[in-house]
Amino acid sequence: MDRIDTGRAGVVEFRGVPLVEGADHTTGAYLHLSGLSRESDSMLLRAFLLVPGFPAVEAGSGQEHPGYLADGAVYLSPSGPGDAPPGLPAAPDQGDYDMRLNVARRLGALAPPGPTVDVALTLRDPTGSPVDTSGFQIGRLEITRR
Amino acid sequence: MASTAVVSRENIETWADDSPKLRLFRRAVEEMQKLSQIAVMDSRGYQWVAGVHGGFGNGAFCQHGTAHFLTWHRAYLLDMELKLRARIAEIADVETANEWRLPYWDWTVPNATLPKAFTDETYDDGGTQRPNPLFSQPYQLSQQIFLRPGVLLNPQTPTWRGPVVPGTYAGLGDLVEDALDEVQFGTFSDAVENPHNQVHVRTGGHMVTFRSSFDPIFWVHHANIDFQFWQWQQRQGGIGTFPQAVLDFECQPFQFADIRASAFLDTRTLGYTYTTVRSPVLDREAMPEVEEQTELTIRTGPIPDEFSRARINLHNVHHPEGPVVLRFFADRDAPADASTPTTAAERFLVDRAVLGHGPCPGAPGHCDPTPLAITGAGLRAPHHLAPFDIGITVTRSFRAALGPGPGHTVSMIALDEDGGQMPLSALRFDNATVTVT
Repeated sequence: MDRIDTGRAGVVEFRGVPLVEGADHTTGAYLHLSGLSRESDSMLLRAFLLVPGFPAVEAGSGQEHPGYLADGAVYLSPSGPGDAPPGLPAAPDQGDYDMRLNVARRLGALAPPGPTVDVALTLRDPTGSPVDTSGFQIGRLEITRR
Repeated sequence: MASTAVVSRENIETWADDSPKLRLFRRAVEEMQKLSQIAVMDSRGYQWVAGVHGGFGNGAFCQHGTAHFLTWHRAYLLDMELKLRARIAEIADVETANEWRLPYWDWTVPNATLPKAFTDETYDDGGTQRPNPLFSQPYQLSQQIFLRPGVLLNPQTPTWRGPVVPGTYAGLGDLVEDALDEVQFGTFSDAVENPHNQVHVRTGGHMVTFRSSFDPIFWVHHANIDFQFWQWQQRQGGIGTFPQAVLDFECQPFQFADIRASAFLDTRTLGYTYTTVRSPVLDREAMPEVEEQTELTIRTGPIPDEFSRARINLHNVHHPEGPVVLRFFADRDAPADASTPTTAAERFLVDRAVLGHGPCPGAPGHCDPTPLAITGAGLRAPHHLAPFDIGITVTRSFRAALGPGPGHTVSMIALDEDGGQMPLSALRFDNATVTVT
């Protein structure tokens, strides 16, 4: 999987995201975001499938974009361990942050062929302004489909 | 952790402006904050309790993006609820406190917005207008809060929220609906955390940060998450479905006798539950009669105008030999059959396929689920044909299909894999219910 910082504000692309068939979850498909750094800030995410011929994804691209997959949000607690008042244990180290977005409603309609797909994420703060993508550190993206 | 009574946590929207429970909520938050004004590190005070989530130093006890998200926050809400009840016992009396529980804010309903109880800047306290403690609370800890890099919230700024308009929480109910159908705890937890995250970020202000717990809306938001966890448990949540690492996790820093997550799974031992309207329609004795029919009609009891979730449940379903497709409709005037279109106009609800087990591949008795084999006698996995339960979430289609009046019907037909109608005897089950929460 290759990450491409597009130069477009708030847009980061991932090429070769594995599309794994035969998952045991009930929902049709999930986009997994694994190993997110807790140094990131809380933000709004929007995921798109990159398909040749579709318009480029911009930070302001909405649900009407033909490649739209799902909305999500990162709400982070810090990794710890942190200091604590007397009498309390230190807050535990929580490790990296994992999350998943339900993409079932759109992925089926787009029906991407092949074992991998290309995905774009837009990153916006709560006011809708693009977020600097360089601070968005992630270990792995994957789509699992039932 | 034993409590004197098991009391339902209620939807905050059912509490009128002048309801005694809402007044007690406001007064208890005020009293907790008064304790913090005297001593900010008093563990009975609002600042301390809010600080547990993320206010003490650079770390945070709260669990997000981990397998402990749901169980840790359940313990956290209980800690808050008990501290509110302690104040209510002083404001009113012990009996009143024993009947009070945190309400929840259901942001999964269409056009959800912030509850009025949290957006009014003042409230009427017996003819006197007072600042509404649910609108905003101070942040009095010494640590700085960054809203995003370079944007510092003044540590002394009271909690605030961004603009919330109808549509702010659109689409989240669908995500919760799908999550509730997940069988694996980890999948459900991850799936329901995304709409939880979106409520934090879309609400704005302090709710975006991990100091969100200083905003009183936090408590009813997370009570709604706990409500969803409870709903999932009603269908899937036997203790065997939780990974051992989740059960053994210690929910720090709470001062309960047992802080392992396993101690927080049964809400009844914690003194609360949530309200469910359950409509039993059949019993075992009625089944032989039903089996001769091609359409089963389930008559529900009164269903409230506003509800969060609707589910059709089939209990103790016996594995069919061949595949069966169950098709459900609501409030039909005429009987449904295989030719009835599956459209909203025909009040179609949902299809659910049940796979058949096929012919027995073993010697005689291999596929006979005897009582001992069904349970596994505690030593081995239950028999592969042990009866099972089916729960089908139909909230959206149920809302759309219901006709006027308090009582409703749900009808079910059975089809084969080619769409041909089958008698209901194709699928044996002990009972059918419609559950509305």
